[in-house]
Amino acid sequence: MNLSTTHLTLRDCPLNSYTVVDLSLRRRIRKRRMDEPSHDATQAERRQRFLAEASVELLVHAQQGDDVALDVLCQRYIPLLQRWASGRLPNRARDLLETSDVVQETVIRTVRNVKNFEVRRDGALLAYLRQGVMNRIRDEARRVGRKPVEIDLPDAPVERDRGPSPLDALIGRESVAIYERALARLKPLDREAVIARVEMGMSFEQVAAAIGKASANTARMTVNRALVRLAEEMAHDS
Amino acid sequence: MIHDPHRHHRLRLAEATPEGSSGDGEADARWLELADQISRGESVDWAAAGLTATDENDRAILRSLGSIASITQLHSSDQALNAGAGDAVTDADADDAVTDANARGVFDTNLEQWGRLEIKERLGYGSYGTVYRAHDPQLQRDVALKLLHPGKQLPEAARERLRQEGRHLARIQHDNVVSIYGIEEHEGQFGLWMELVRGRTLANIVQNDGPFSESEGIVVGQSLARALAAVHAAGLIHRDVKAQNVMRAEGGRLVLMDFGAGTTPDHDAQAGTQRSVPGTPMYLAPELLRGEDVTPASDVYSLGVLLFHLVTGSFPVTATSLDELKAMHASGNATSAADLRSELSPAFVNVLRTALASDPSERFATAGQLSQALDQLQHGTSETQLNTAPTPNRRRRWTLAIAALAALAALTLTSQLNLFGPAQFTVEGRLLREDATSRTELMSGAAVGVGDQLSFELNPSTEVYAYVVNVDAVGNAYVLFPIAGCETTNPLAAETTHRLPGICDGVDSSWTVDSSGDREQVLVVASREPLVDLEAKLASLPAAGGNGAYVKLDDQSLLNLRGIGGLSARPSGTGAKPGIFDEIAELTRGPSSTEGVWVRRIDLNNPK
Repeated sequence: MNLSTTHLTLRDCPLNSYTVVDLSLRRRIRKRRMDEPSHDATQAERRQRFLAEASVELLVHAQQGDDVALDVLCQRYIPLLQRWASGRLPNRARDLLETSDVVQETVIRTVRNVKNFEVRRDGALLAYLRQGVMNRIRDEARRVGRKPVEIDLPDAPVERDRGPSPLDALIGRESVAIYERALARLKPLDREAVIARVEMGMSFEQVAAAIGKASANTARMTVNRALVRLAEEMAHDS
Repeated sequence: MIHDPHRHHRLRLAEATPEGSSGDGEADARWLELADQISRGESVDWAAAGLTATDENDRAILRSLGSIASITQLHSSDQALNAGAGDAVTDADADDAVTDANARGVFDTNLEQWGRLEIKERLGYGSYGTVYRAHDPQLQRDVALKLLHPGKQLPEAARERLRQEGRHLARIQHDNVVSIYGIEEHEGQFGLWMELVRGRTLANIVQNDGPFSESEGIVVGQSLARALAAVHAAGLIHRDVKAQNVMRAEGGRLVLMDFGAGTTPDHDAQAGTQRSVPGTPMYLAPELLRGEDVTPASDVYSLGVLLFHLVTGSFPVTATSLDELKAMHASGNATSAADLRSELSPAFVNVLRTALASDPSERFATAGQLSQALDQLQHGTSETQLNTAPTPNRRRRWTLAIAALAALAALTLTSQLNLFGPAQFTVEGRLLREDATSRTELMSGAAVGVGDQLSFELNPSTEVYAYVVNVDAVGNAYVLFPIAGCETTNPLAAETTHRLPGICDGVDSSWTVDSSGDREQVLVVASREPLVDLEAKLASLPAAGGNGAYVKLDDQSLLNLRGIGGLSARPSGTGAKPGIFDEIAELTRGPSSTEGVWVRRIDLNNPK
C-alpha cells in the first residue's frame, strides 16, 4: 500500500458505539474498549459536536489525527456501507469474507488517502467510499474465484465461478454492468443523488444534506431527474 | 430552520438550467413520475407504464427503470430505506438474512410484498420463477404467486405475450385446471397469481408411493384429458404437461398447473426460429424434436407419457441426451407399458399406444378423443382391475396373448380397422345374455355368472367371415366361433341377423359360462375375406366337444397371436420381431384384402 500521501497511522476505527453485523469485529471492539481509558469530557463534547458536523469537515479532523472524528465517520458509514455491500458481494465471497472488515478497511484507507478537494460534499465522500468498497469486493471476488475453498453448504448448488451477487441474481449480471457503467457516466451530483437514495437508502433529508440541497423535496426532485438520466444512459448501453 | 426565500429561489434557478440544457422536455414527465415512484419506494404499475411506450427507446428506458427499481428494492429490502445513517440492523437480523440467503443457495430478496399481495412463504423454485404462498388482503384469501426470476429480462414482446396468456388462462374455467386470478408486473417483476392448491404432485406420489393402479390411471387420465381439452378450447397449448405439473389436491381433485411454457398456437408460429423447445424432454412429442410446431396433439402425447409414467413409473422412451432421444424416436424404439407391467389391461395399453403414436396423425387428434377412449375403458376395466388376483408364474406369458387380442380390441375405438383403409362394410353386433324369458345386451363391465347363456348377434352389411374368441382372467383363450361341427359357419350372409354360435347338431345353441373367473374378454372379429392364418390355427384345433363347449387355444396358436401384441412396434426392417403391420397383413391376407377388419371387444366381470 502506498502510504506516502499520509502522515496518519490509522489502523482501525478507534472506538465504539456503531453497530456492526459481524460478531467477531464487535468482540474485538468491545475488547478494545475495555483496554482503552475512559473518554474525557472533552472527547464527549467533541463527539457531540461532530455528530452534527458534515462528513467532509470530519474528514479534515480525522486526517489531522482526531480519533473522535474518525470514530464518528466510522459510525456514520460503516453500517451503511456494510448493508450496501451485502447486496453486492457474491454469495461465496460473502461467506468467506467478513464484510465488515472490507468496509472498515476501506473507510480507514479512504480517510487516510482521500484528498479533500476530491470530496467537497458528503455525498461525494459516500460515492467515493462506495467505489472503494466496490473495488475491494471485485478484488475479493477475483481472489475467491481463483482459490477453491471448502464451504459448508451441503445442499446449496456450488457455483463454479464466483457466483452471482444478490444484485446479479436480481437483475442479471449484464444489467448490473450496464447500470454501473451508466452510473459512472452521470454527472457527479446525479451520481451522488442516486447512490445516496437508491443504493444507501438515505432519507430525502439525508440526501439533501449529502448533496447540498435545501430541502428534502428538492433532493427528491434531484434524485428523480438523476434516475431518469441514469435510465436513459442505461438504455443507450443496452 | 430559517426560511430563506432567496436561497430557495436561487436553488430552483440553479437547477432549472441544467435541466433545460440537457434537453429534457415534456416527454420525460412520465419517466419522472415513474422515477418518483421508484425513489419513494412505491410500487410501480409497470403494465400501465408499458402502455405508454411507443418505441424501442421507450421500452429500453422502461427496462432500465425496472432495473433501477429492483436495485432500490434490493437495497431497501433490509429496511435500510429511510433508516438513519447511524441506525443498523441487529446482529440477529443480519445473521438471519445471511444464513437464509446462503441456505437457499440463490439469494432472493426478502420480498414481503408484490403489488397488493403479501408474500408469506416460498413454496417452490424452478427455472422460470419462484412460487410463493401469498395473501390477498382485499379478497382475504391465500393465493399461489409465481414470480418470474427478476434476472430474466424479458423483451417487451414476451411480456405482452405473457399478459395475453394470462388473459387466455383466466378464461379457462375447469375444475381440473388451476384458476388463474391475474397476471401483472410490479417493480419490474412479472407475476402470475392463481388459486393455491394444497396437495402433492403426481410425480411426488409416483416417486414416494409407487406407480398407480390402472383404474387410478384411467381416472387421472380422464380428468387430465378433459382439462387439456378445456385448455385447447381456450386457444392455448400447455406444452409442459408432466407429472410435476399436476397436483392431487388434498380432497383428491386433480389440477393441471404451470402454464410457464404455455403458448398460443399463433404466437408460437410468430416466434419462428427463435423458439426454443420447452418442456421436459421425456414428455416431448417426437415431432417437436424434429422441429415441427406444437399442436394440441403434442399435448396429447405428453399426457400419454404422463399416464405411462403413472402406471409404470418409467417412460416410453428414455435417453440421456436430446440427440439420443431423437434417435430413439426416429427408430420407433418405444417401450410398451405391457412390457413393464404385465397386468395392465390390453385395452389400456393400447390407449397409451395411440396417445403415444410417433406420428401425430395416428394419435388421438384431440384431448377429447383421448378422454372418450378412457371413458370407454373405464366401463370395462375399472372394476375388474380391482378384482384381478395376481398369478405371477403364468401371468406374463398369458398376458402376451391378451395383449395380442387387445391389439385388435383397440380398434374398437373406431369400430373399424383403418390400417389398410376404411372397412368397406359395416357390422351391427351385440353380445346377449339369454334365458327363457329375456335377452339382455351385455356391455363392457357387465357381470356374468356360471350358467349364463350367451350369444352374439351380428348383422353385416356384406358377407363376412367372423371369429369369436374368449380370454379368461388367467389368460386361457378359447375359440367360440366358428366351432367345427356346427352348421352355422363362415361366411355369414349380408344383411342378415346371425346369432352366434348358431345351429349346432340341429339345435340353436348358446355359449354357457361354465366356470367363474375374475374377468372374461370376448373378442369378435369380422372380415370380408377369410383370415386364413388365424383360421388355419383355429381349424387345427380338436373339434368342439358339444354345444357351447369352449375350445382351448393351444400354445402355438397363442404364439401366433402374440405377434400382434407389438402394435406399437413399427416395422423397422432390422428387428427379428415382425411388426404389427406384417402381422395384420399376414392375418388379413386374402384375394383382395384391402377392406379392413371389424373388431369388437367386450370385457365382462365373472366374479367367483
